[in-house]
Amino acid sequence: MRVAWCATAVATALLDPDVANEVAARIPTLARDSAERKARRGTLRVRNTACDGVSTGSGFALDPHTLVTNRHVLAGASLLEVSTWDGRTIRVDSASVSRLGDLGIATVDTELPQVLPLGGVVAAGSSLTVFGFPLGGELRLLPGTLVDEVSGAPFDIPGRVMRLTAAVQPGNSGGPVLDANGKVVGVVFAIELKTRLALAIPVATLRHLVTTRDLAPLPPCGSE
Amino acid sequence: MHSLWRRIAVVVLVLALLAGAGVLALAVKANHDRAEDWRQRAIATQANRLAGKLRATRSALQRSEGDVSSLTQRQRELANEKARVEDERRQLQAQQAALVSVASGFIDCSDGLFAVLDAVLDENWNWVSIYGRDRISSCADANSSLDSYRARFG
Repeated sequence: MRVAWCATAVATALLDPDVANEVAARIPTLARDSAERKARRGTLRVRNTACDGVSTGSGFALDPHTLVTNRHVLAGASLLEVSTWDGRTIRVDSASVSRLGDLGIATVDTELPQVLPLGGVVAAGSSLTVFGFPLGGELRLLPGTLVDEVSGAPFDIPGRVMRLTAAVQPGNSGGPVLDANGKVVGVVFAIELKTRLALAIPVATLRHLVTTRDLAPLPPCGSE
Repeated sequence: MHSLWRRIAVVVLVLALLAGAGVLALAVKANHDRAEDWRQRAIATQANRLAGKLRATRSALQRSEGDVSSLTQRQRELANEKARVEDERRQLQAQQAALVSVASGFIDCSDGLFAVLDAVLDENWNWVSIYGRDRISSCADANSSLDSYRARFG
């Protein structure tokens, strides 16, 4: 939103008043469209070919050659591939998973189309959007609200776990949860059966994993 | 007397020069006003032309935005279809590999059965007692791998 504010100020200062007003009126929409466009391009579809068949999940680019998803999306793979928004299929070169919690990191030689910026802590009640590929279908944007953050212990997740109202399904696993500015604030990993709320790992846990690199090799097929 | 006439002539000449200068100044001003008027008209015409171009460019830009948006949407749909086709291809490859493994098990089973049959026909009971059970058990393994294949791929 800071970009939108600056752009509005520049437009007001430089342009004819009528034109400036028209441009200023469009800037918030353009900024929102731009964030959504980047998120659409930055959300990746992950295909896991394992000994017992093919499964799909979601993920996003942490940097041009690294993507983040769930541990259970990567587990048991004999072949991992990533489909990008523009129809490219990129083979994953190496993958590893967090020792604790349901996060996985994969690296690719080919440059990923769009990196998604990481955000910070969000307050309960904030509007969020889950990007992903439910049931291996097309990219869907699922709006939701952060209900609360609870202990991750019952879900075998270190730290806290976010609970959202977004209607996620299998295939959304590993997809990013974005705030209103298009920044990643969480990673979807499950649905709470009792409440049907979506569960996501907060970005702080992801940051911790990226910093400590406390990673293990992929679990073999059939082990999870 | 002569001097008076000279003075009158000088005054008349000065008055004439002043009158001439005044007329000239008026003519210059009128000319300047007309030039300014034409300049204003030229600016207005130019502004109208630019406004027309701007309108045309804006509508062309809106059309282009619409075209880009629908092309992007189409590209996403095609990318999604491609991803799904690749899913199916990988699924079939995994299924084929599993089926090859099942078939290989049944080939071992068949070979084993023929070997046992040959031994029985040759009345080679010693061979049958040593290897028979092992050869026949490969059929149980093959059945088990077929069950596993059915469970995984339906």
